[in-house]
Amino acid sequence: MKKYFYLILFCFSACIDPYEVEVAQGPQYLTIDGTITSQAQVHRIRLTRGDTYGSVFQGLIRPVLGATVIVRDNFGNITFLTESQVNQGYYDTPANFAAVIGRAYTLQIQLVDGKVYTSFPETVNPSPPIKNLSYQSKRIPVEGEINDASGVQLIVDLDDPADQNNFYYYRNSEATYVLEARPDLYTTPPPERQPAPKDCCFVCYQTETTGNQAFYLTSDDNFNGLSTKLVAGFISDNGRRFVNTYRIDLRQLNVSQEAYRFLRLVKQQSEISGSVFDPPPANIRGNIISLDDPEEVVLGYFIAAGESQKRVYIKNSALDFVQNKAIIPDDCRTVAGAKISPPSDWNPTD
Amino acid sequence: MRNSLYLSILVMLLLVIGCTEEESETTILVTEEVLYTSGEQVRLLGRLITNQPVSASDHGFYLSQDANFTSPVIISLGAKEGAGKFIGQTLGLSARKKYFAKAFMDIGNGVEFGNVVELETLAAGIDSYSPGFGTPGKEIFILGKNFTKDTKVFFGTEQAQVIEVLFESRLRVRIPEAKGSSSVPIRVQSQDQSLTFPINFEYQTGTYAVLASFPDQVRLIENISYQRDGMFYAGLGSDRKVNFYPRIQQYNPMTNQWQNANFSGSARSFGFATANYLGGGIAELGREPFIMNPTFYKITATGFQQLRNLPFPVRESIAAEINGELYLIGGKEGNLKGVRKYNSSTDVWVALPDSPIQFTKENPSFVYQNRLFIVASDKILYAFNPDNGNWVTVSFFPGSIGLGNGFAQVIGTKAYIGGYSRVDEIWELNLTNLNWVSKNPIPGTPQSVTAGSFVKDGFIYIMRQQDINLAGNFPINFYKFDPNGI
Repeated sequence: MKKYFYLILFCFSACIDPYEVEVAQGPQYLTIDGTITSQAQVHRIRLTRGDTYGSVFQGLIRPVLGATVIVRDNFGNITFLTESQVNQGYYDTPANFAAVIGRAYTLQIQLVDGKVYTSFPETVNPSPPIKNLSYQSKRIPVEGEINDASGVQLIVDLDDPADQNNFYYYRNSEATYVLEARPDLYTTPPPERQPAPKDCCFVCYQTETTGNQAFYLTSDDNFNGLSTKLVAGFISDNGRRFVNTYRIDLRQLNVSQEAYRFLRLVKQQSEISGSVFDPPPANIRGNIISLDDPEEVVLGYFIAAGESQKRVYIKNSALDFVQNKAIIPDDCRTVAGAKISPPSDWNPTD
Repeated sequence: MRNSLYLSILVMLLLVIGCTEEESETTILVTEEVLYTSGEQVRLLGRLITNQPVSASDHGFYLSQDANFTSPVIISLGAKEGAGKFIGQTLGLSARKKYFAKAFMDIGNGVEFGNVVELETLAAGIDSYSPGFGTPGKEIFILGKNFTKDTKVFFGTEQAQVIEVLFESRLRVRIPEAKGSSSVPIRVQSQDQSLTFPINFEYQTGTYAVLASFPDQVRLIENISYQRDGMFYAGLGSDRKVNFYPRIQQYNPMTNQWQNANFSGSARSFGFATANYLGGGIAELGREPFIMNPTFYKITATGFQQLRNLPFPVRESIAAEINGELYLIGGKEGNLKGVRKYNSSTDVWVALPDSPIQFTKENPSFVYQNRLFIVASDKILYAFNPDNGNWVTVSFFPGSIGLGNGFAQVIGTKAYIGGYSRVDEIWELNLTNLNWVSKNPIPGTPQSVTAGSFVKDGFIYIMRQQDINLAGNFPINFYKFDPNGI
């Protein structure tokens, strides 16, 4: 009897098939992602084509190559962007390009197939200076984990101008931190694993670009013309970053109302967690339009914004909580990108 | 009772039916955005918003310079089914004018219009042109903004062919024939706007006249050349590295004739010569180590006066007279960076601080305002000040240096450098602003090398011959180069 029971149980278990979602081949939408600001630097526009998404990726997101990309202001001044030879699909402005406050910019793209796309004009609004940039450690409980995750929250002190409606969008710039290692703990590779302490090097400088894991954007509807403090970024602690000193430049972009609306919708959609309180999925339209077919769906947004920056040195001693120090039992220079000399403008006493 | 119930149900049903209102038709036409404005182009975005199926026999935009839209420019986009965006574009507007625009739609019961938007067409502007010099028939790019389709370009009074107008901001233009002057203003005419660049365009100039060939049928290399008292001299060195060429020939630019200068000294290759001194080089043809020829001569009006032998080996050194004093720089023997000055009154050579890098005779050099300029093999132009022994870098030679052995001559405030082996380029360096301008190439085959150069009365005289690797008999051609000839 028992034998038959196991046999029946086996039959049922064999009937379970994985459910694979079959998604019809969708159109490969052109996706445009780019920002120009009033900061004189190389600004990048990224052109890609999306692909169908199903239970597994059915295609690859491919860069769009060979396009002619220009940025044009409302006086007719044109800047040609050059295609990056290193990063496919990226188009760069000249190194000294800076959008002029008060001017309206449009992005124009001509693809190799002759199709022409343009953005709606985006006016560059001035970004008020960041009065102060402070920070605090933040613990994040993780379900099922004993130890909390943590990181550092960036807090902006701002005097919002009363004469204009502002829409702030914060982005992290390149960061550098002191990377501490323990070359004295070095052991030979397996299978020997014999202690072989090295004399050098204990301290290096690591440069990285960490994007914010969330969107930090706000409008001044609730504080127009007032001084305010805003949470403007978060840098997660990986056990290396906040061991000593971490330096970051925070970028404050004053985007247009339309760009803010677009980014807010993207933020909402990206934060959907499956809860019944989530906003419904939405089709977010950007500001790019095809001149050949105005109804063609083009994803992405071309942002033109005023920019102000503030630098902060985050000291380990000023943080309430940091993760346990990650031990690097080797010369710190073995870590990819680590350098023994600090950047020329490294000045933690600022 | 039952009848009352039925009646009540009927009343309820009527009430429910009575509450259902039919949705009204909503059709809105919007002139949504001015997407693009330039000197003569406008691109407009309109949108038809409706909750009804709409079939328009035509739609588009009206554009006019007056708000009442009298005699408007009509951008007709044809029939349209249903709601949606539409883009209209027109060319041929007048620059720097205010226009009014509105979307329109013809749905059978008259033309409907959207809201009116104002726009202003833009003024043309010029930024730069590149390159700043060139020859007729070549192309240049003019950068600016809002160029209209009818844009004309003039080089002085000559109209140029506008090959292409790119993004209304780049003009690809063919350089017209030069008439009269080699330096002309570039004027851009866009509709009624006339714009002129503040810096003139320079036609690439340089003409060559063929003079009497070198009298002997030789392939002269590793030779010397110099000029004094209005006469040019070239000789010594070897014929194809096989035999020494023992003579020095004198050229008279007034009569266009060559004659033997009767050099009484020994033959040599890799020697040096200036207007007043001659010497050094190797005494026997061959390979390293060379046997040096230490003899040293002062060139006088009557001939060659032998001086005390050179106290150091000299091979392929640069020789120059600055303030009447002879300097020998570098070379390929002894101190390769050595700088030596000859004191003619005491017959003593003085060693000066070394040059920053090695120079040889392969590097063209010239003297200007009592400073010696040398184009190094990495194209950097060095200047040596003999007063304080300082070396500075002043510019970068933009041309090709081929296999070395170029020439350099100075006329007024301009230096002319070029004629490198197997290169026909000549570049003019303005010594007041250090701008480089290319001159017309030296005639002849690509395998030509320079055997000597001279300067007189605003002209440069260049001896060019075939490289010794080319088999056959070829004369040494002699050209008179007019740097400003067109």
